Amino acid sequence: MNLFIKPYVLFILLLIVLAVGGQRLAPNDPYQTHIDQRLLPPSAAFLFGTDELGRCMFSRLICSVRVSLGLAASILVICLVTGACIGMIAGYFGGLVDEMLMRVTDTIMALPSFIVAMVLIGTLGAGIGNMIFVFALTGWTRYARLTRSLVLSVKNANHVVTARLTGLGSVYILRRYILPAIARPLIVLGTLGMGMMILMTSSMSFLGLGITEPTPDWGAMMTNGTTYIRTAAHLAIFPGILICLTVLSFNLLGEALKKDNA
Amino acid sequence: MAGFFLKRLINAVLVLVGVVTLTFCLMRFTDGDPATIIALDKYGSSLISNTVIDRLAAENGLCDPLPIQYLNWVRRVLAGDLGRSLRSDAPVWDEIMQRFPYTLQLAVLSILLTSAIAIPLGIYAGVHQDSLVDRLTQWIASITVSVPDYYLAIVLIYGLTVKWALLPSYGYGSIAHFVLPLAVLVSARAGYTTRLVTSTTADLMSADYVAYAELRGLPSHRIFFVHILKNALIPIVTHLSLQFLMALEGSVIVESIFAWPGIGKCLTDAVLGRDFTMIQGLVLFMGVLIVGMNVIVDFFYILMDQRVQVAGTRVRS
Repeated sequence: MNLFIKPYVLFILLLIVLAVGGQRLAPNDPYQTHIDQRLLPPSAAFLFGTDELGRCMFSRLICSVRVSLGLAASILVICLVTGACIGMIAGYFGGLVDEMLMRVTDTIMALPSFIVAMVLIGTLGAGIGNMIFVFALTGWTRYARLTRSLVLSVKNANHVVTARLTGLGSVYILRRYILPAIARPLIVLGTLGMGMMILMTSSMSFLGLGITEPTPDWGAMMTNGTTYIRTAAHLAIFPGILICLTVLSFNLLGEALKKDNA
Repeated sequence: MAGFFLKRLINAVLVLVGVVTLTFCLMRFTDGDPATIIALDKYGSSLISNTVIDRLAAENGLCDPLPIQYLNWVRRVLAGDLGRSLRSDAPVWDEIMQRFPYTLQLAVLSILLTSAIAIPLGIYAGVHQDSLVDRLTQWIASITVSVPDYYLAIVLIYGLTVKWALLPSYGYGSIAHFVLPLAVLVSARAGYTTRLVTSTTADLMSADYVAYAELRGLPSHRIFFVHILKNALIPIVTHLSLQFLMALEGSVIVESIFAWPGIGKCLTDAVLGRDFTMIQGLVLFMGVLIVGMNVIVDFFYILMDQRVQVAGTRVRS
């Protein structure tokens, strides 16, 4: 199956282009306020209208891709790497280490991660750094679980046993023989997790606890949109559609990769 | 069986001890000295003399050594005293008790509605694979899990309140007030749960013992009720505790948007207002709720699944 002709893949590619291009691709300055042109509906000059300070919504949306997608992607990468390392250690070495690591994983998995993140942000304070920290703190567990079970299934394969018998070090075996064998399913789960991460981070910003004005971010733009829902609905509609399409695309890609993998 | 349950119960008590310890630590993780934060909230100015801060620290027992502070905290928790809100000065416990029924109403109704939609649909789609219902639920589920709660809420408010003025968009009162929050809470979770029930049922359909039952010539309704439905219910009941977690999480956003007077809104306000005692109390309360819910689900699980009962006897001996 050729993935590159699927609409969701094309949409993700477009998002990546927008994230890399950022402000250079925007027709107007996303921070430039036009106080005489507030809350305008979509027009030729401002494709998606203007917000409450007269800033171009289209430009702000383009710039928000880098902020919101970048934040979700960086948290996801941290979770994937941490989870893979912990899962590999637990699965490969087994015994007491495995028991302890999995007990911690189970405990964290039983917690409502969004509420935990909220509470931690409430005590540590808002900000991008804290946001990455609190979501990574609870996010790695599902990858650790998967990695552990995958490692268990390949650890007694002939080539791994042979490598161990020749006296190669554990770290080398994990990196050279086990990681390549388990990478694909991990990436599939990561793709499926991307949508959820976008939903969680943007929800946090929506509540005013993540990225805040004037930085263009999906959640923060939605908060604005809620305030002006009665007078200028386009403020909420356009960012919302963008978020939905992004999450949907990542979910569909994940499902497609999962089917491909099986 | 009793052994397994006892083991889970001991585990639950250990987790509760962990929750109490964690909430104690929360106050110490904050950026800044707790006494200064209390002083700031009390007097609202950053120009507070050190004597005032020291007096407040002494009053709140913050000068004691940490182990003593910890013991005091445990003693107060056991007595049901969670302190006073830094914002409203009301006792935290009373505030939570006053607000919790509202969240519980939403959570229970949303779980009931979700189950009423998802279980029949999911089982039907699982039994009739690749039918219209199966493909339709798959599509609807993909879309609903991709829509953020807040966006669905805003679209519904825009359509049903701003455009047509059919339903109230905020507050608590008549039955009409329930419609929008419930619609948001149910939509994403119903899609997700339907797919879960479908895949569970589909797995059971291809199980060996179902094929054997067919070979024995059992009537299909008997196979369905005894062999499939009974076994499909186990993961569905286990899923209930997850649903409860999701309802609790969902309540944060939904209650904030619809100004629902429950603990989700309370948590958002506390976090935004940096009301640390309130956050502490809410975390403790939710922790106990979740642990309690898990114990109840474990109990049902044991009652329904023979294999756990067998494993339980092994644990005991």
